[in-house]
Amino acid sequence: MDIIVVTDTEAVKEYFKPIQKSKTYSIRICSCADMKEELRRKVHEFLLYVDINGFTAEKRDQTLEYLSKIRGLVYGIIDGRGVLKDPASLFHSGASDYLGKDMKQIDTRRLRQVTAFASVKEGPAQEGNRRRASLVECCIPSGEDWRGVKTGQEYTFYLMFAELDNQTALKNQFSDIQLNIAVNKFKNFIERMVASEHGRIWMWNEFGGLILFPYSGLSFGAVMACMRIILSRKLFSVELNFKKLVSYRIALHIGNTVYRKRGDTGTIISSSINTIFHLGKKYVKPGNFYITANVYRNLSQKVKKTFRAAGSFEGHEIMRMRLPV
Amino acid sequence: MRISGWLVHLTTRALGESMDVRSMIHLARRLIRNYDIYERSGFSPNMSIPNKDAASQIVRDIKKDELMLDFIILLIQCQETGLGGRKYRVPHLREIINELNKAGLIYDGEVKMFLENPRVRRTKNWGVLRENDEYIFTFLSLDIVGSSAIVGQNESEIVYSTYDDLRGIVQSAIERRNGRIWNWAGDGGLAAFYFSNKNSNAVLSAMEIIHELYLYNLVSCRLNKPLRIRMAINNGPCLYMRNYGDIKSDTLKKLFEIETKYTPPNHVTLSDSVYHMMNETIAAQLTPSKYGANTSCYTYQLQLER
Repeated sequence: MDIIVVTDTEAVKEYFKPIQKSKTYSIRICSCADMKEELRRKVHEFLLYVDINGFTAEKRDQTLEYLSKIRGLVYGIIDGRGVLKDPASLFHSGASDYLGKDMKQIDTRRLRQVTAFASVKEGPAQEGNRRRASLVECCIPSGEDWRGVKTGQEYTFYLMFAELDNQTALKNQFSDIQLNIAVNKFKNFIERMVASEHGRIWMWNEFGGLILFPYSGLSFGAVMACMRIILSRKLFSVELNFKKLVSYRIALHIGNTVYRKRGDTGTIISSSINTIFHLGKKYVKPGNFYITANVYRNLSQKVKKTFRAAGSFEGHEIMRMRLPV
Repeated sequence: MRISGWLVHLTTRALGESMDVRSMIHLARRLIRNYDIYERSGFSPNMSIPNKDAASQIVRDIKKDELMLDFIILLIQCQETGLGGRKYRVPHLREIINELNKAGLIYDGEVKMFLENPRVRRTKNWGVLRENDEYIFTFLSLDIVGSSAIVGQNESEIVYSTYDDLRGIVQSAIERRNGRIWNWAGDGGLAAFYFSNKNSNAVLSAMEIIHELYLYNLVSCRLNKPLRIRMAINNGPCLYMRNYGDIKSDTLKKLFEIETKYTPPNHVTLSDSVYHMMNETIAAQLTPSKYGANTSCYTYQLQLER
């Protein structure tokens, strides 16, 4: 996740020293003059810290008001001299962190607390204020796990499509009973592999289905689960006694849908669900794992290197995982 | 393993109610050579021993020699495949097996042995191997590449937690396939596989470890460089010893030689004897080793397309 620090002084870097080596967070300094432009350009989740040291009272008030008006923005205020008389009011108007004069450094734990606080503050608990307008789309975090997800409400999820390839060949190769056993093995395998990242099979058709992962705006565990499934293809084929290497394809997208319990999903209308099904059914090549650009943007630089551009589909830029050879 | 009085009682009844004294003696002699029931029981050889007394004496002697599990396996075989060309109906077998299940053992019909239930406990000898007895194992050794440099270049807290994470990855991959870690020395260790598809299980574990380590290096590794390991797999005879330091084995010697001399980083190298036990799907993933001029070994590494 990107941490954008708006400041005109180098000294403020000291606050973030403990997280400079973090693999999860990358810090970028931006001048106060460029803040608005930076916010306009930013298209994925980030955490903003604004250093108000050196601001005139007027500029300080203007800045705080500006920040409070951006819905969905997760931000903190750095007040090294302690000039704000009522820091609590910042939280009433939407801030998620405050670094006062006694606060010298912050660590990754603090950042996790800040994002968790922001997620709760704007998440499902407060109905009126829960729509978090991320700068890319309307994001309603469903959290790190399923505890905050309620039936009948709309959330943002990782939507994963997984299906066996070569279906005609499978039908010819197996009897109905054998085919049923094979598909069940695949289903159990998927279930086991996504469980560690809180993934749940939500819809299941003849050869595959749709899996949901809660989305907090931070983690990309769903991507790692999918990569693990692709890497495990040989192990899966051997351990479950398939005579040949089994081929399956996966697609992953971040999108919104109303959540209903499994089996009660027939009436859900969601463009994100359409997108993931179309992508998985029509565009992903056998044996591959494709992600949409909004998934890709969330990834760390290292993980991004395992993906290659794979064109666009229904207006979404698509990336493809480099496969094991 | 502690044998309960109830299990002894059930086994005695099962034996006494399923066969005559002659067959019982024959069965006992399969485990205790030259077993002489007259000598053990005090009955005179020209007297006939009642079934119940004979069964009771035999089970007592079997228990004393710590051969109960083997004896129960023989009873199972008497019923399933027969003994000396004749099948016996052995009563109380289900109750005996249930009793052992309660003690954390499950009967594996494939290998015809009682194994410890991994959900209950996991011991180095699977609950059944005996010290100083020779078995054919498949071994997997693992070593962290450049451990001294890692320790020198990174904070100790980061090194410890990374090595702990690696151990977690290794343990999960191995124990899921019924292998056991026999030794872990911080920067590497040794795992053993004994039951069912031990060769395939060892190789699949190694492949999983390589995949998991790749993902770990992508997102979680805090070292200044990616963590790298090398692994080797070899099979062969070895005496089982409770204390790892007491194990002396040519199989292990060859294993460590393969690991140190013929295995490049992030590879697993298989000896030819393991390779020849692989099915086609796994064998297709392996390539002859070109490292260290040894062409009788085969290796696997994870490579993504360019």
